[in-house]
Amino acid sequence: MNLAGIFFRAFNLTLLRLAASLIPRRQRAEWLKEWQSELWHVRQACSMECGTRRQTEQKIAAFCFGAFQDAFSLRQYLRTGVPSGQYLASAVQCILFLVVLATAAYCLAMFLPGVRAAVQPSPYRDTQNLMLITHVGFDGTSYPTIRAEQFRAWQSRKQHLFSAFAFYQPAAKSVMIAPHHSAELSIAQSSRNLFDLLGLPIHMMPSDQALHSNMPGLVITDEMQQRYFGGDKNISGRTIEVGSRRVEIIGVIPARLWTLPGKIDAWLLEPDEAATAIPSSSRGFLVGHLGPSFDHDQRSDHWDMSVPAGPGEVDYLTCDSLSGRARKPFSIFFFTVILALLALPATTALPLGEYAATHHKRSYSKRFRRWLFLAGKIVLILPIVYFGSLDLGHLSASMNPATSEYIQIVSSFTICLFALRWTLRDQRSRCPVCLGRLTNPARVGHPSRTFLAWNGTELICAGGHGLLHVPEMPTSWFSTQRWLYLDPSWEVLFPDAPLTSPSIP
Amino acid sequence: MTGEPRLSHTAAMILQAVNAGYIYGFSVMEMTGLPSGTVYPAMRRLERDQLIRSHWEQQSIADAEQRPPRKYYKLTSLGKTTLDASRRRYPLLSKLIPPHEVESV
Repeated sequence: MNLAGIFFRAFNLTLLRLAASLIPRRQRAEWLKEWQSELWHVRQACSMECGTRRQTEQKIAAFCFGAFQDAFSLRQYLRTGVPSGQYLASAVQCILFLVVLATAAYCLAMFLPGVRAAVQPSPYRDTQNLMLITHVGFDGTSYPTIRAEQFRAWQSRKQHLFSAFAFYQPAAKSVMIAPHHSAELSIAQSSRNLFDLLGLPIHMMPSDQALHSNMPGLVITDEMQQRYFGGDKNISGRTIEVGSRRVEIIGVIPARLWTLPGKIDAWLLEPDEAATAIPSSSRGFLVGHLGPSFDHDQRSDHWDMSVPAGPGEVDYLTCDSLSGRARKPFSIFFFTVILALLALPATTALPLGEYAATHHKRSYSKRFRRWLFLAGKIVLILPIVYFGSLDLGHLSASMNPATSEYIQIVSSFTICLFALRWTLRDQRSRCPVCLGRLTNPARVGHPSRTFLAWNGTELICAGGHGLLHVPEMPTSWFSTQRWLYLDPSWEVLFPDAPLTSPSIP
Repeated sequence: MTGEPRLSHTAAMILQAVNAGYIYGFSVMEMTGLPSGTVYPAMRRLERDQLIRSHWEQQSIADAEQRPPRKYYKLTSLGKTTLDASRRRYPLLSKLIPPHEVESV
């Protein structure tokens, strides 16, 4: 046989094997055997005929291409006739579907800036000792509640609890970017120690290099730098006008590092520690650093306190640690998962319904596979709930933090409850042997004859492994669903389904 | 009205060919002039409808002749009844495919 002959034989066999890949595994060997045998005879017959080599090979190739039509036809028949393959693949498809959902939820989370900031580790230093101080009832909101005069009073007074305070007050201000070019931006008028207290790793211009040391410094976000200054890397030292004041840009901070309340474009750092330029009655946010005398064992991440606000007046404040704030999304998720687990028995029965009506022991590997499938579903559901609820809570960038939290709580609980419910119901409606979905539900019996015979629904495994009897009304003799395993004598009803050793991946 | 399935002309031709002694796929192809992509699926449908049945040739016979074993097809009793009905429907069927000397199986 010459080289061309070997090539054409290999080509024809490859065509047949490709077509055979369309055939379900059980029928494939015989199907291929028939076609290979026929191919041999076709080649013999064609070689005896008069004609050029090209015509002969064309005829043989046309014969081989017909195998695809046969394969498609057989595949279609097997699919519509008996759902062979489907019942075996459904468990894997289910897991793959959950993997895709979890991946999509994670990708969306990484795409949404709000979620990205919520799930990343806190960018601040010593977060356990940093507290966000607000009036009682306003924690977790973006409403400024602390007056500048209160900040100044506490700062000047000797403190037992806190070693330092920083204050910022966001407001919309007109910024003159360039001559004849102004923009309305969110500027936080802040005490000079704000970034030192937070420990943010920003590159600030050293004060000795500042051209105008008496001028307030402005720290801008990288987004503002990109948008209004064309990403100019040598922006430090430039002076611009904020409102009616001239300020000097002294540093740039990545916007993603700011996770405290308020959407801020730039921070106007007042030159004096007391930030006297901020009007006394202006309300802002206060960050306090706990002193070394503070005993962490006696206090949690979140506590209330009262402080004297004047003669006969008391202010009630809430201290929220930044480490607690960083853990909040996960704490909400954990809390709602516990709630959903508690509520689950009210929505569906907990048993998995694998009680055999007859004495039938399944192998340990099949039992393990069933439990593994259940565990896999639950493990995949958790990231879907976590990232999905965060995605819903931060879909809109302009959403209030408190609203985001409420949405996360409600969606996390709802998704988790219904996902767990679905997990149990899905597990119950699957064959314990092959994990395929049970099909063909049929009503059996009459409710009026409950005391004479069972009545309920009967489902069948398309793989021929058994029947599931679900009672309509639990009775003392038929309280839970029962699984009736079928022995190989039933094989005649399931010609395309192996009753023994199903080839589940 | 009888209960036999009503065959298309192509299916009837293939059934007639099998009955006439063309008992494997390639011989049916050669006799009817139909391509492989039509003949083999049609034969599978005929077998599914129990009009024909198939069996594999004994390996020893194939080995003796130094070739792979073939799959042979044969009409069932239902297939014969259906073919009779098809001949009435397609009168030229017998003339198109005359009986062939049956190969030894």
